[in-house]
Amino acid sequence: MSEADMHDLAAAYAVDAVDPDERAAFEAHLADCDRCRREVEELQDLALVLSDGLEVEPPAQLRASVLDLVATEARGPETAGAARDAAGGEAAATGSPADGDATATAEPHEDGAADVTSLDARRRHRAPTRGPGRWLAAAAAAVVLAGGVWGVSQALNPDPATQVIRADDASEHTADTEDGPVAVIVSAAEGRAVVQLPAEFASPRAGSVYQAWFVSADGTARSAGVLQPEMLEERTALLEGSPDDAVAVGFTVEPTGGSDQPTTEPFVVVPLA
Amino acid sequence: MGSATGAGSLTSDASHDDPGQARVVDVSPSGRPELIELIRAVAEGDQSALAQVYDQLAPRVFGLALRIVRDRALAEEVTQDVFLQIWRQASEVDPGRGSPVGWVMTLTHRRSVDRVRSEQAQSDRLHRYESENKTPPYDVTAEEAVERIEAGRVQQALDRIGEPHRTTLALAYFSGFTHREVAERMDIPLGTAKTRIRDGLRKLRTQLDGGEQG
Repeated sequence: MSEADMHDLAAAYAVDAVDPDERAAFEAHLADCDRCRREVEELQDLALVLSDGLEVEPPAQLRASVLDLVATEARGPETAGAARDAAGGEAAATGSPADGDATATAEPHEDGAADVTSLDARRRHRAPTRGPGRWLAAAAAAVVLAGGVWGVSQALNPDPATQVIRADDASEHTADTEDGPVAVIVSAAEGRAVVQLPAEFASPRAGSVYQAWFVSADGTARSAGVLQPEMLEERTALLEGSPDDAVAVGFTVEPTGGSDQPTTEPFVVVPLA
Repeated sequence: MGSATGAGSLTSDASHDDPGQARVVDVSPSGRPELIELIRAVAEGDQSALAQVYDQLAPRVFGLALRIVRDRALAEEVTQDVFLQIWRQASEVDPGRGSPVGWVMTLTHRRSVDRVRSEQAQSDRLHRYESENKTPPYDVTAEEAVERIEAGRVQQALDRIGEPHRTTLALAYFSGFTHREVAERMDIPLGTAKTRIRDGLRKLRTQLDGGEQG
């Protein structure tokens, strides 16, 4: 991008109307260009009027939640940093954290934004606290990477199925059935997979259930769980276990309660490659 | 890329008597003089100061976030993120640049826009089956986008700047579109979109200065 083009971006940048590449390029340019820095400041000040009059009282519990997070962070950044780093390393190595909602999977952006050094260092010591707090901690970890971080929201939603669907590395695989396409969404980073069923998916007959299977290259099947009625209702289900080396996800009809191994031919197989 | 520099653009040496600097912060509801003192205390690790900053600014942060992300749960997340960022980066605010409210709202805007964009990217996967034949939720016409932001003072501020700046600015500021997307939706050249965003913002000064042309 030429110098003139850079100057041209000041207004768009001031209102965040730039894509991540442009943002990064312009911020690099800002470091050396007083004129653009002044213009951005001027325009951001002017834009302030656009949020004046939009005030909405946030829910009361949000205040407590923010202050709790701050208190936690202020209290002791050192406590469980080692554990967290270990968890992150494991997730990176295997792509399959034992616990599907492990927050460590939200971290790949860190390295890409290592230029916020001091904050980065603080993040590395964040404790992976159990319970809702750790979601918030993960959110906090993500927020400081202000520039062009698009994977942030995945750290915020405690629903693991949504986590998978929103993962940056999520890939979608489909196979057709009579009722429409069945999709399997896999995130290696999350170490989990989600199935999405077509709108008119027929329910299993009484006394039987649909069961999902991770199928390996050698043809062996591991149960990925029984699709419970509410999953059929919602048409989205988080599969049990990690897809690991699975090359396909198969679905069979099994007696109520499910089976250890498939007892019928799969009615649909979704290849993952 | 220096995200801290980008988001916290207060850390510059901009001159205060530069006529180009509109002192919007002084007229905002949050422009109480103690805010900068509170931010200074936050920078020192004072949690009760952060609580007071929250009390002053949370409705405005939440309100802008809600306007952009259009979902209360997401707006809450943005609000939370913003206050954590304030907690961590308060020391980067340049007290010489007046009230930090501009810094806070800039953080809020960026977080909101990032969120709405990532939500949009994800919504394709999430709603594949339901919306196959419908218009995607964010693929709105310029007019619809503008209708969403009709509200009190903001509407007045935008109305006064007139078209085509009003629509351009609304799309860029409230709908989270990039200048490229704004250009596509309005069917105007890229350069025109950028110019209109800039001119639209500058026209906002007219109101701040009581009608005089900025």
